[in-house]
Amino acid sequence: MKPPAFDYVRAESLEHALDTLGRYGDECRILAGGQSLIGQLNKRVLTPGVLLDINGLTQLRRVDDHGDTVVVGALTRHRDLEMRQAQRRDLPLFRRVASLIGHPQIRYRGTVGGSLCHSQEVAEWSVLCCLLEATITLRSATGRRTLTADEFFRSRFVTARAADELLEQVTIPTLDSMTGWFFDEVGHSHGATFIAVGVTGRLDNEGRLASLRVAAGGISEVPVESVISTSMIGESLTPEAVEDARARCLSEFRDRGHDDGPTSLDYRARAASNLVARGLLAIAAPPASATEGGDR
Amino acid sequence: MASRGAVVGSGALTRACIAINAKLTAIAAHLLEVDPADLDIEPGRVVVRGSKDNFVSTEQLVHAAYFDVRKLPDGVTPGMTEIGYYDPKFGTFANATHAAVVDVDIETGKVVVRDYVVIEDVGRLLHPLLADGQTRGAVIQGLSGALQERIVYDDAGMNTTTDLLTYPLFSARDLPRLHIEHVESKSEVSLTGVKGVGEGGTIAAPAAVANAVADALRHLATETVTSFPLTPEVVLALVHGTSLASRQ
Repeated sequence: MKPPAFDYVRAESLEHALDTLGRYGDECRILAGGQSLIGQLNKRVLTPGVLLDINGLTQLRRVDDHGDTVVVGALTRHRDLEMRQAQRRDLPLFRRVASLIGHPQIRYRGTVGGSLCHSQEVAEWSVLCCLLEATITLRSATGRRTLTADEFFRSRFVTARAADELLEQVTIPTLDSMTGWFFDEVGHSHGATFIAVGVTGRLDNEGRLASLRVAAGGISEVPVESVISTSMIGESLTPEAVEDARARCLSEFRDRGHDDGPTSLDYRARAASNLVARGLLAIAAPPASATEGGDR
Repeated sequence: MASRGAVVGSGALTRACIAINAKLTAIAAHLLEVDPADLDIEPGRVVVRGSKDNFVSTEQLVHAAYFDVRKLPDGVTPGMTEIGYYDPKFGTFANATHAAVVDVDIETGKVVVRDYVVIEDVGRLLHPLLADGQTRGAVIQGLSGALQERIVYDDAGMNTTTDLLTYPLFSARDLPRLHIEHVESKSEVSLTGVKGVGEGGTIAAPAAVANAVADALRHLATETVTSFPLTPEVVLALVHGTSLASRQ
């Protein structure tokens, strides 16, 4: 099918884009990489009156290193982060996350901002934002506000972005040099991803968890942070502790999950809790192996 | 029963070619004034046996048949068109042996096909490159069906698997190394010895993958593989003994 008729506006500047959004509001859809939007238009799931093409706003395509944070512009392509060359400790994590998205053609076009605004619960950037406590900056003609991932993601395909707002950038706190990470997902090699799991953690000198973040996509309507992120602080990652965490996550994911979609909640909860255990083992291992996710 | 394309098609083509050869020989015999039994058909010409310089080209024979009918012997009709019909009395069976090496992630249920060998007996091998290609395509279809493909209807009877996102097919990155070999043992029941090639790949591949997964789970699972597709969810349920089969 072909998309329904719409008016096309190419943003000449950020101000022009924000004015257009302010004028048309709900009538308007923002075209960035188009990897989800174009399919939805062709299936006529969406019938916007106006398509606002922001691909000319090159100032939104940037990755700025501020030391304690990385600021990723909304129009940054997945491939930009996958191929980025820089000396940063968390860059391998970004590369890993980007490499799990779709296939290369999608990664060349699709954008970080577009993925976040699409708000699929299993989307890699959404899970990463939840994992790393990233903040999301929204701009409108009248102001700017910054939300946590928790505040931004409301449910599947629904975010806190108002109709006159444009996602401008994501600010991701830097992982310190002692923090290990793990990120993996399960799905078919292209198309449907069932679950995605990220774990970051740091052990103190006694081998106890000084920090821990566990985020899972595909369990609920938004990425969820597991309660073990706080409850395991101070624990050592003994085999028994990892088994205990696996069981706790399984039970938590079953309780917090929604049963919808092509795979059962029971499957997703079990596979995700197994990946959490795998992630805990990865951060308990020496740093070299902590920067690897498993094969898909 | 194997594909009828090559089996029936090559049989009918052979019969039509036999009739064309008879016609070429009859015209050549008339023009060369020799007995048809003393002629041999070679590529591009018909020659008198034992006398290589004594021949007529196929071009001359066809020209006579279409444009110079006075050169045709009595009883030979103009033109060079023959029709052959063929239908084997018994179907042929293409035989193949498949072997798969798979990785089964028992924590996520994901199955990855690492290595794959297929030995096909297609009877007479008409075109090695095409036979390889057809085998490759058929194996991929078989693997995709075994591991991913299924049609899902919702409670209202609506098909929910209507595009490539919801009905995932194998893509290039799912493919294992694929080693293809052929054994030629000609069919005794088809005219040309051809057995067909397409089905050997599609039919055997799911069984090979299912057996490989069953083997991988032998020491763990309380159940064995009894249905397709072997999606991660199905495999993990087998590992934990919670598949549908065990609930019944």
